[in-house]
Amino acid sequence: MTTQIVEATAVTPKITLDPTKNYFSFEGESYPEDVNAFYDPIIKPLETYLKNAEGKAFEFDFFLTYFNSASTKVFFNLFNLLEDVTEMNSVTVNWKHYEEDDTAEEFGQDFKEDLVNVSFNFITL
Amino acid sequence: MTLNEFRNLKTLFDGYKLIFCYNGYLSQDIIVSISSMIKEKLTAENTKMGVSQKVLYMFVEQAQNITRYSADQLSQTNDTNLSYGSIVIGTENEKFYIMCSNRIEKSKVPALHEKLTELSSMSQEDLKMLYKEKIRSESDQGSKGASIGFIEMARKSSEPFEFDFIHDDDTYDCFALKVII
Repeated sequence: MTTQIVEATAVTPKITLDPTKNYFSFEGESYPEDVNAFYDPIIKPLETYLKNAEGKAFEFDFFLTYFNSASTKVFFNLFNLLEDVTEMNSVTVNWKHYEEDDTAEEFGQDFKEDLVNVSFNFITL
Repeated sequence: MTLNEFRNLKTLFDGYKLIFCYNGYLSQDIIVSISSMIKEKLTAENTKMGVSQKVLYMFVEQAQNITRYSADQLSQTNDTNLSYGSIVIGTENEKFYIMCSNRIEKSKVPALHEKLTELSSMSQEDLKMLYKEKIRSESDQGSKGASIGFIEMARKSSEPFEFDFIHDDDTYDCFALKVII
């Protein structure tokens, strides 16, 4: 996987995938009409990369100011994968949200509940 | 419609102190533009971010339901899909409500009726369990979203859904849903 930056649009977040630093981020809004058409080409190579990694320390930043229900499923699946790869690696997730945005915070709580070995941090802005 | 009838219609809408009212064809581009208007309007009124995020969430879910499931579609290609429906955002008793309406095939009514009835009667705890269960499983057949839109709307509502299905013709019913934040 090569380093990739996907710029944000009105309905999709800015996505940074940097395997040289093992740093990945999703920042912005996410409500494309067809979530799979948008996310599959980005997430599939990331999945392959993560599944084949060993002894790495991955860091993920999520700062999603708005996302629709279909996007929730995409992120849920990604978090499940992150939990799986903690067998061979360490994974840190920074869930960023505005302090007043309890909707984003609640989504983060829902995701965090299913994760055991992923270090899941809330960062309020 | 005469100019006078149009004015009466406007007066009627104004009386409800609506933030927004739309009746016509929706597309993804229109949803994006309206979302941006809602954000600006609520920010200008100093609405709490937690509340404005919920309004936005309900609007996008309901509008995308119309684009996906309205029986009245102008084309089937993804980039130019236009779907007919109505959406209203207003306030009542200091609470925001979001209402949507579109026609659906009669054959789809029983399943939707059952789903909404079930969600309306569930506690927050049960809704959360159902949400977890749904998000772990594959999408419902015929669902183009993640099947969890209605569950999430129910979790973000302060009151049970109000909804009905009114006979339109032999093939279609007119579906309407009101969600209160």
